[in-house]
Amino acid sequence: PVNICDSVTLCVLARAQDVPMEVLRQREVKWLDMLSHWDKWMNKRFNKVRLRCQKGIPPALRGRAWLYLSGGKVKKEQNHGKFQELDSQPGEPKWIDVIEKDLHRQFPFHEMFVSRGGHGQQDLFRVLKAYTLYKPEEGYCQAQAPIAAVLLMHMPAEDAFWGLVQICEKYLPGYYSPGLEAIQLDGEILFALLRRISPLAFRHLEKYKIDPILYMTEWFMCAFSRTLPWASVLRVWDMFLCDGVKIIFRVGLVLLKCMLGTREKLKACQGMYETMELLRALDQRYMQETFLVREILEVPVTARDVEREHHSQLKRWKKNRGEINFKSPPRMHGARIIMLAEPPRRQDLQQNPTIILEVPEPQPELRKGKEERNSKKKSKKPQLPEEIPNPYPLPTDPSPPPPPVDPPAPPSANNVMPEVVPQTETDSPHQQKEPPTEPPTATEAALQQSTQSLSSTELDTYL
Amino acid sequence: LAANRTYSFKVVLLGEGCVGKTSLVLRYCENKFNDKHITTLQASFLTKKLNITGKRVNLAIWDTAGQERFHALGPIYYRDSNGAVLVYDVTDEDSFQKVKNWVKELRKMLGNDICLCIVGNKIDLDKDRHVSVEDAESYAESVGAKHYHTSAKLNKGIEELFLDLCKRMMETAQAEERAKGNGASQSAATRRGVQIVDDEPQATPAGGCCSSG
Repeated sequence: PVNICDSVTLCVLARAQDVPMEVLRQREVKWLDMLSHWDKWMNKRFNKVRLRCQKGIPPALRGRAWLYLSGGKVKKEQNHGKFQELDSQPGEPKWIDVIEKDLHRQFPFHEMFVSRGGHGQQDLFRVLKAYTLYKPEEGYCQAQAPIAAVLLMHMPAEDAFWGLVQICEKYLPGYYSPGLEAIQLDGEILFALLRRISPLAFRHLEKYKIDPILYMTEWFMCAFSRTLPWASVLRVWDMFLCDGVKIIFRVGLVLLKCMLGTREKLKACQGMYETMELLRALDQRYMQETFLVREILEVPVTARDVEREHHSQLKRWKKNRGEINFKSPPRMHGARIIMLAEPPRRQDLQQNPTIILEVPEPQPELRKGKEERNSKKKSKKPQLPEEIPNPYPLPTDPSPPPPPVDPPAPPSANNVMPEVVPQTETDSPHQQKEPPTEPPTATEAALQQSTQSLSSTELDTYL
Repeated sequence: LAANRTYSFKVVLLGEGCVGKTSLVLRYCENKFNDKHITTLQASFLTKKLNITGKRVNLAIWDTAGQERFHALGPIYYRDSNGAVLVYDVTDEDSFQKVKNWVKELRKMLGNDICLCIVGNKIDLDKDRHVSVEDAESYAESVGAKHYHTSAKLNKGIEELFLDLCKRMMETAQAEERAKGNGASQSAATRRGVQIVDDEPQATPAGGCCSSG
């Protein structure tokens, strides 16, 4: 189905195929194990959790993993019924107006958000409105909508709400608050960190007096969800929710260094406008998933570096501009610290099925087909060389992989446990384009959607 | 020699969210219109080259985020602007009130050197109009701004708006230049980033004005 793909689609298909199905299945098993012993893994083997986030969370489990990493899961359980309560209230008219104006302007080419008043837009409204009731002093900021939308592509509205709460309160506190001071401060921090990472890029931006706000606002406020190709967005979020804001800083530093890091590149953009134009048209090579992730891991910027720079930039701010007006809680650098700060009760980490299926009578025809496919897979397996380089073998690694992707097949009858159906993955990329470029025609978009849906179905797992 | 100048002007688009700022600039600079686009969070600019009565003009039009919350970043965007286009939605009274806030802020921060345009957009939805033409026009006059009606969707009024604005900005620049020639100190134009560059003489296209992307 390559003939109708544009470069973005091609990139996604290529990426999806990069991870062999067998590896994907093994990873899913490992993640399922981690999720069912989450506190143990977080307390004793966090480094391994981090490594697995760096390798990419399997698409079928991404939503659940994000909710656990962010602490949204614990928060949800400890505030049982809160979302339903907020959801049932009408909300402040002034926020409702603003939110409603934005609903059709988030990922408008994503199948979930494409139709006005469709379920994606409805859920987006519910999540954003609930947040304004949850934090009336903060209300709604336009940059929260893309964050909520990305979460909604992976989880139901209640979970997305708690994920949003965690991102706004723990990961990026103050980003969306009145005055937008936190994002401006982080702009200064990014710029200060750049001095060490790429002195050339730093001096260039300094020379033309390009305020960081002019290039990093959307990068940081949307956690790159509007900037990078979709496969890269997901990998960045996997790492961001595990390790916190330093990942966002690192992505920013990688992009600045790649785009402005050599004398030759700088020669081509002498001037503020030329430089801004260049930073707006980021080279696809530098945003490509594998390249970007490798570069991110190599940037020598730790959470402590971010904190140290935060401290000195805050001092500078107070000297030049006075007190910070909107006091935000301190930033939490990643999943482990969040968990330590808000320790879960045992029941908080229990995995509750989101959809419980009635166990139907087995349908012999279909079952037979499935078994055939299963045995085919099994017989094929030994042929695969010990190819799967798995640096993290689990002692508890169960040998048979879960059944292959087969959504229409009924659950097997001998499985007494209710089955948990993961939310449908809709990893299709939206049109990652700046407003001033032409979006694809309706037919192009439709075609693109259809291929992507196809490719994402391949990645869905029926567990 | 005087005919072969290049003026570089910065114009900033301000106004409430969802009034059509991005659509206006996209229509003007690239002649595009699309229903499906995303909210503007990252301010950015598009450029347009004009030739007005033999003088070349480079416009950098800055598009900004509209939500009230992003006002905090306003000074970063309107700094050094020669012109401002303050946009409201003719079907939304509240968005017109927001224009008044911007006028106050710009006059306070940039004085009378900045050329202001007040623009009622979405006149294709005139049947739902909630801002009266007389109110809007008399308000604009009272604050020394020019008023325009546009539709980015139907491509109405936009060329005229920017052409008028350019002419006014050129007059302002020329006035400042004369003041400078008369011994005035540091020119406001220079401070605000207007570059008046003497070019190699070259043939200017015939006719009043022609624009190229």
